[in-house]
Amino acid sequence: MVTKEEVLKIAKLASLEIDESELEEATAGMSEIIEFANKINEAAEFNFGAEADVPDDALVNAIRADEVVESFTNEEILKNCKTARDGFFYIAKSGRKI
Amino acid sequence: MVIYMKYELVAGLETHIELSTKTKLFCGCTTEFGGEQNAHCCPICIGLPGTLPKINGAAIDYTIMAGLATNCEISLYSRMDRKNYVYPDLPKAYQVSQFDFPLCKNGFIELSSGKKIRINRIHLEEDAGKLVHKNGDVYVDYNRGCIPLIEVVTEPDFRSADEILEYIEKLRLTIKNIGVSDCKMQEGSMRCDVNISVRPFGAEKFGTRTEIKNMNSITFIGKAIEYEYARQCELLDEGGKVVQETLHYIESENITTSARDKEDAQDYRYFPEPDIVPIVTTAKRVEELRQSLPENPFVRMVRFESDYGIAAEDAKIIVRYKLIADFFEDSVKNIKSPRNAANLIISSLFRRMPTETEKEDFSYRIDAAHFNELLTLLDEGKLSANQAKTLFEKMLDENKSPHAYLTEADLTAPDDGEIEKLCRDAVDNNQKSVEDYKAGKDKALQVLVGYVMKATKGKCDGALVKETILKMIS
Repeated sequence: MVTKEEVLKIAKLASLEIDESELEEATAGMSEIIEFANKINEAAEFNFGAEADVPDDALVNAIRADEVVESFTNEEILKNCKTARDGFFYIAKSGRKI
Repeated sequence: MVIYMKYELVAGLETHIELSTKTKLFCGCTTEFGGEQNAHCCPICIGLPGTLPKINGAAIDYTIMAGLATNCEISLYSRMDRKNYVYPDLPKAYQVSQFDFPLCKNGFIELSSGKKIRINRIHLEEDAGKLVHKNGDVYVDYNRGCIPLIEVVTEPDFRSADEILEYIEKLRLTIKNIGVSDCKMQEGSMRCDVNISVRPFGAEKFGTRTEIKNMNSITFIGKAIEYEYARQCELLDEGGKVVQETLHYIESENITTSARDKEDAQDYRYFPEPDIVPIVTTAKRVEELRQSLPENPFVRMVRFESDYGIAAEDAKIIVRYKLIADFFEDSVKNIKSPRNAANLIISSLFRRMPTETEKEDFSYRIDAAHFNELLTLLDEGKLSANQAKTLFEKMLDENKSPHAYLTEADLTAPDDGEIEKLCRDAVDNNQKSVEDYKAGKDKALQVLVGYVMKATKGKCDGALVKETILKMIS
């Protein structure tokens, strides 16, 4: 169960405004989502503690060697960035025109 | 100070350590420090859509090695998770980290008091980019983004600032020693977050904690803990309540200020990283990594004392720098008095490397074989301690064998007959000192020994001279 206090806290963290009239609906809606996620938890759990418990055909260990590959240039990296400045990604102070 | 007597400090530590892999965690971009901004980047590490990250095998090995060096259990099954939060230093709006299947867990580091600080877990994650603030605007450099980090999380086992500082120093030496990180706090490759709460002495329940983030100086960590401990004690004593929050320590003013609401695990919406498949390792591989680890510096310190008979204080200062400790061991092979090596290293060699970094990198190269030759001459009594020191300085200047500076005559030590004759001279020419010694002035003997040492330019065994003179005058 999700409480109204939790919804208010999440709204605060997400910088969302939520008023009293919406709170009821939002709380019920989020509870429903969490209930659905809990359903997944009912599925059998694997014990991953021992090596033998990982099935042979499991997709594991896509590992890369520690070898340096050439990076993109500064220009290439910033090519699609609309607000680049002096070689950096740039975020203007809120309200300031770029 | 009275109120502080009422409250006990309870603290836990999260230490972020940058791994010294050549490449980033999920792409082949270099991890080199410095360089032009946004020039060690590619579409993977700036989080462009449609890219597929692939994990760096060395980062996995290094994390397991860090776990083994801190007495952790290694998880044979492990996986990466997404930790969601929105901030400009994180281009994907999530950090790839580990949540419920970290690579290492349940370790500990033992303090000198014998108390064990429990390590809850060590997990692997990616670093964020660097933000440069100018006039309220933010400039972002992603060169550091996606560099592999380990986070070492302790249980809330600390009860004083001193315990925390000793732990940090031990952890730093331990991790640096196995070569998986340079642990340079000043360059930010090791940073600490401290969780602090206070509770009345005797209480079982923990108080509300605050977290001071991102500190990378031992001195300031000590000051920040003291400040925050005092702040919480005073707050509680005035009937106030500690609010759970993240704080920043402002070094110039010695205060902590609120940073943002502390988010709990559920606020990060952790879930398994779908782009990275699970990491499965074998007990055999873990054992191979365990075998590859160098000796722990604290074990080495005790061994230096017992095997080489050097003073505890000297052993401590030498093992602190792995390369110098290796040099010491290479130099004292077949040497009867390894103490001479310790003395010369600490008095002469260290003086040439005044900074910690210079000592850690052993920036002053000198061949262990040459040093061994010098120590052999000392063992054989062919050089006095002072002569050896002067010679060692020359060797440090030019990295040559001591024999390059010595003639055959320099190395010909006087034989027993000559020593006997010189001792006789010393006694005959210093009757007053002989009288003084007989009258109980022990120091007067030094004058007689000094006479012989001077005449032979220190090339004979002081103990033998002393013995010979004593026989003559008693």
